[in-house]
Amino acid sequence: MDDLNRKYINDNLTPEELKKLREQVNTLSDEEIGDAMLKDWDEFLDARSCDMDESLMRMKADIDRRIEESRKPRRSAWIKVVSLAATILLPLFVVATVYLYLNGNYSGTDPRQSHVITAKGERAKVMLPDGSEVSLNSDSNIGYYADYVDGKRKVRFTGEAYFNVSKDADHPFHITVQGLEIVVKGTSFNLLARPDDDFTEVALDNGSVELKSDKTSDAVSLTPGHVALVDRSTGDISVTKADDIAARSAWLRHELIFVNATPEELVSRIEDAYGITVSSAVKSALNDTFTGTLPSDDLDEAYAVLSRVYGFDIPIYI
Amino acid sequence: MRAFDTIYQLYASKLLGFCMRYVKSREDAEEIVQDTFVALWNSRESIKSDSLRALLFTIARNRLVNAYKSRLNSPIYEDFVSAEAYSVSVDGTPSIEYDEFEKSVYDVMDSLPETQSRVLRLSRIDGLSHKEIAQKTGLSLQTVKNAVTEGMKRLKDELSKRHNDIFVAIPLLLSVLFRVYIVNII
Repeated sequence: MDDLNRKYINDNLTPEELKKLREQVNTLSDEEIGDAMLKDWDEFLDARSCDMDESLMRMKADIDRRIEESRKPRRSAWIKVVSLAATILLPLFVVATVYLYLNGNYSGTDPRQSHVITAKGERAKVMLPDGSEVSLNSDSNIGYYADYVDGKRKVRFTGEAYFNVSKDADHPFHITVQGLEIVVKGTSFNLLARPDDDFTEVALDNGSVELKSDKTSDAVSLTPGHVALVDRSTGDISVTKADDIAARSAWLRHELIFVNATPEELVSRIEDAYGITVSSAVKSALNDTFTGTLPSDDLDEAYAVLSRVYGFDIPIYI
Repeated sequence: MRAFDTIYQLYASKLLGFCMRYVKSREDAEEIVQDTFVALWNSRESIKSDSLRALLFTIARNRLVNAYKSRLNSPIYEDFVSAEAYSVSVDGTPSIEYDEFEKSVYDVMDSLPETQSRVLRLSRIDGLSHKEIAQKTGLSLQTVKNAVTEGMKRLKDELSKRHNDIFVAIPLLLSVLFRVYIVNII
């Protein structure tokens, strides 16, 4: 490797030699490559002098900035200022909270909460402080606290997500969604609670969850393989057994599943998944119901499937 | 910070020069140097070793090995070597730096229409075959081939514009196209 590597360093490998070097290096472990580099490093250092040029100064400024950023939380002077501000502002917050609460204007934004928000077409995986994992689908928002609230793990949520809640019987996991309070024991399920929809849907994979409707105070305990649908206008909860629980979390696997979907439903789900607007030319070509699976992470592929099914030939980028 | 500044002055340019040997791209090399010094600062309280040069290498090591392997295996580096093979000057020094070559490739990618640009990226950065690109994008195999051909032609133009050296560019084009052609037949 030595001789070829020297040539690599000096940029005068022939194409054949490059092929040979690739083969050699790709059979070595990272350990062995690193050891060879270390030998070179020692020789290199002895041969070279050091000089600071302009770009090195610029790089140093970047490094200093990054170091400064990582140091900020430790600054005690800041803590003093913040705690002083807190002393002054706390009574104000209390008054404001009580006022807003009594007037029913409490919008659910809590400064102690951290939020992870996905835009249309975006996704995120969130690891909560208790170790629970939440996969957010597009256009969703989860708010959570750094610590327990009254001995509970509390989150607030809108949108669609797959929850994988870690087991902790001493600290129940509460989710507040539109029209519903969900108590979780340690389980995984898909939660669909879009602000624009009329309903909230919980599809349980395993474990158990309890649902309490805000409107009727109805409480329902959900068992695996069942889907609960909450009507937000009445607060009624209906539970059905579903054979297609996996389809509820199909978006996790980058799939959009359609069963007899109307053209309108087809278009709106594609637009949501990709954060795009379907052109009117394509819309008018989608003239029948659709049953099938489309990828939610490969627009070209989804487009190719649709153009085959519906037999249209319109350029995707207009 | 003072000791840290001194260490930077002593070692930054050497580490950067060393990274360039293996990484070839100035931008990537600078990133490794910066990451290394930030990591050095963050671990300052747990440093026991008395040899700074060994310590710096240890911190940079994984990043370097990964960057080296990915450069060595990248299609763009292969294009660069092919171009060099036809234009090495008498004294054996390369006629252009890899860094400059890579910039030309990226410039060409940016200047192409969206579909061509995407195809060229999949081909030259991700190293996919024409067939794989066709499957991934839903484009026809012929469209993919045309896009790569067109991209390589533009790359040739770009290089000769930059270096006024037609002898670099034409053999490059031939070699790349020839290779692509062979791969397709196989």
